[in-house]
Amino acid sequence: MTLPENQLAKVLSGCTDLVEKLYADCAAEAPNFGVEFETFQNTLERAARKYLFVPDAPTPANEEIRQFLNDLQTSDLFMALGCAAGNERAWWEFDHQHRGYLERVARHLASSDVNADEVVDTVYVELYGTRIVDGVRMSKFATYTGRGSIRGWLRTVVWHALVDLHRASHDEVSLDEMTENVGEGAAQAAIAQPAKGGEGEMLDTIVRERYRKATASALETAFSSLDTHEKLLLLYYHIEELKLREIARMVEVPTSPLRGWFQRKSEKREQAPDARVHESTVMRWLEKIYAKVLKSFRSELKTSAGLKDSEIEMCIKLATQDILQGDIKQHIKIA
Amino acid sequence: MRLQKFSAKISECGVNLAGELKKVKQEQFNQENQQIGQLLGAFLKGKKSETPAAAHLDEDSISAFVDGALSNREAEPIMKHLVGCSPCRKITTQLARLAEELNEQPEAISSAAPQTSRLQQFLQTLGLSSLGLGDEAVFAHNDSAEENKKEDSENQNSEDQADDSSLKE
Repeated sequence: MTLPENQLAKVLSGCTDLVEKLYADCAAEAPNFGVEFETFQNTLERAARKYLFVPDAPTPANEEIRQFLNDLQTSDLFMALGCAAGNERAWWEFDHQHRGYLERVARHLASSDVNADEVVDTVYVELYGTRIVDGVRMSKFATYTGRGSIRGWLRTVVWHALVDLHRASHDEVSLDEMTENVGEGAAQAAIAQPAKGGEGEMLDTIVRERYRKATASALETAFSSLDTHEKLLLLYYHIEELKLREIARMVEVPTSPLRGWFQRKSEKREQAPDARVHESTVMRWLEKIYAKVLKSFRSELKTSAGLKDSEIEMCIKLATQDILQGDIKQHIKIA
Repeated sequence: MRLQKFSAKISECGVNLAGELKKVKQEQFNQENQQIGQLLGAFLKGKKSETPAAAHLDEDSISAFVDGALSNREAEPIMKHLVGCSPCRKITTQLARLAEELNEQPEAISSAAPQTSRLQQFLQTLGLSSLGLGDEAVFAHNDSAEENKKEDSENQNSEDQADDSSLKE
């Protein structure tokens, strides 16, 4: 849900004591960063508005808001606010704490056509902000809310800067166009490709097409019926080709939303919330989704397409054959 | 006696049979999973990316998500966006890979001294040197230069460790 400003202020007013405490702690830790209480409070409100007051969700309880505020990386945020305002001490501290890391990320990401130093300089310029709007310098730091770590945020900023530089050096198009059609769009659905030979002698083209259409439609329905976290896991695994190990790492943090969703009913999680997620655990999650999809897929073919069990098996067989033929064609092309 | 032996054998056979049945079922389950996995993979690759109505996710949301810092309530709209938005999903994928790669290839962090001089260079390019932004101006914010030097040295020594631990966040 989206709350009007006055109502939001009312909801957040129940947490004023906590905001004051968080500010006092930060100010005691870094008295020279020159961050005003009002600026700090406004930023916390902006963060809460952005993350907690989401459309179609009930208004968060006071406890939830307090938890949210307590979880913010307020020290990092305080420094970022100081930097956004151009405070010298905050900048020195940022440079001292994070430049080495920033350089390391840039060096790791930079390709031969983009210099790592150039990336770092670009990021610093963005962080400081050279654009002036209504007399205010637009520092990139002002967009950081403290919800994640500042280093995680910096990684993302470096990544974006690198993409921009790469695009500039290649006269390339937008990020959308650059990443679009890589993977999803470019790959053709092997299922949709008409297969030749094999079972073709037994089944005429019309029947084959009927099965293909029914298979594609049932898969679409089965996929649509999945929960968001299940769809995302499938997309990470099959489209982005994240390895099980990489997914396991992604959900390693106990608070990871994907992990949270998959283990929300797990007793094991309640007993050991910090337990490591192994590749086998991710595989089990995938298997559960496959089982769910298969059940929905079969049911859809039975009820909507009116197919018998033997015909459903034929659908699966044909689709698998099509995929294999698509793979072989691709291998021949590569060779 | 013979009856007892016979009954024990029957029960042994039953156990073996149950074991075999379980194995067959597991194999069938694995095969079905493999098939449906293949089908899903092909289906998803052919599926056109939906263009979400909302704008792309900003850096703050992406990094918070990859960090695993969001609660279920906060993550739900972001996951919904990621399901429909291929560019944003790709960024989260690459950032997740990056975090892992950085952990696998730990490097020594450059020392604090050149960092300060590079900061000076940077600030000079922004024309801030005229504001008195140098080491002296910066150090003037601390109680004493001695304390700063000590702090520098401690930070420098612990920076590698701190960096590694923060990467594990």
